[in-house]
Amino acid sequence: MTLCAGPGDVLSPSVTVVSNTVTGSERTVILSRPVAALTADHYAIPTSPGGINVIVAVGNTHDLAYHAHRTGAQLNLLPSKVPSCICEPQSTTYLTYMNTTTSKFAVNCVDEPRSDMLRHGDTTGRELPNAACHMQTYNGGLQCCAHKNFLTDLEQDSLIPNKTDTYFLKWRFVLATCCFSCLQCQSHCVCFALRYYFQEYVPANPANNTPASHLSLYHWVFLIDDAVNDYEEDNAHYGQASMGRITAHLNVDTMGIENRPTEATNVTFLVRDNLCFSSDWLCTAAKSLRAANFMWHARS
Amino acid sequence: MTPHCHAPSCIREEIWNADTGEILCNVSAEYGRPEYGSLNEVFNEKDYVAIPPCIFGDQAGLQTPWTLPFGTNITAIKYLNNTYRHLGQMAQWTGLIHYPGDAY
Repeated sequence: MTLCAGPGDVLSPSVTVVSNTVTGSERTVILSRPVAALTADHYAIPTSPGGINVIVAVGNTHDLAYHAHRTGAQLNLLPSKVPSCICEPQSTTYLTYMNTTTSKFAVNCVDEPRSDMLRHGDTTGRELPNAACHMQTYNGGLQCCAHKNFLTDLEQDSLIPNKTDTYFLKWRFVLATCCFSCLQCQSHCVCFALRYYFQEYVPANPANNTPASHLSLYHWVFLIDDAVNDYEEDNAHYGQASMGRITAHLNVDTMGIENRPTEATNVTFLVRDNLCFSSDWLCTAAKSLRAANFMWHARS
Repeated sequence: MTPHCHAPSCIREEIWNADTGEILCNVSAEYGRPEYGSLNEVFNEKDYVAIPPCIFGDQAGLQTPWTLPFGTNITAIKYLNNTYRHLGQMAQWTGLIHYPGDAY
């Protein structure tokens, strides 16, 4: 039996064969080795309950060669002198809408220093996680916002009128006094990116007739949490005027920078659009975003 | 670059170079106000929010773009009105970058 195959250094022997017996078509080999690692290169067997991932393989030739059969497995270490659970309990939470649809609620807020969300996340400064970090405390947000979902109680369904909301989008264009490569135009032009402002990050050079560059712009975005997009803002005293805050800590490498060239050592920040919402009612926001995307595609 | 947040609670978002203490962009949310016209007017409703961007560029009148080494520590702060509870809030930052030396 080979415990590990492939390039590397041959380890000094640490395993003792206790017995090697054959009964019918089955061979049983019992091995023994100390819990502690023989050297720094050897594996130290954990002394607390838990799983050990192992790979096993068997050959069918006398010479060292690629194994004939191999598989992976897990050895589960359990306490031998006290009762313990054989299976680690796991819980999964789901959101159900009107008892008709079910979606998994999977949120893992990242610990500090990346974000306040997990430990100081309720925006008051108290040592509380943000309510959006756990299903048990979640009051609503993106997880509830799906097509044809209304943010009402179950018994209010019959009260929802059969009306269509009207919402407005406001777009601001900045006209660049140059021609972009994607459009051949004579004077002012608006180019492919409806949602973007433009500026001359590389100025035009009349000396060699080089136009200002608007290419090689890459998008970046980061959220208040590493993975959780929307969060809840709470208060210490409901209705008492107060200003809260929430903070994120990261670095330029983890700001969602895209298409980083391997030789690049720094990056220059320019500008992007802003999105305006007429309320904090999340579904309105989501509709605006979907409509914005539609318009972008429709006009590009 | 520009922050992303929602009405009616968003007050201001700041993004800082934590290594130098320089503020890279500071944006206050603008809401519909009577001096801009009727609060029933589209885009000037009482809780309609506009979020101006920080515009960097080489043209006259624009702030020179920040160029930051990779590894620079960044702190982002959102200030908000939490007099009442608000759900589904966001505190994002987004923008466009350029890698110095990139070809046209």
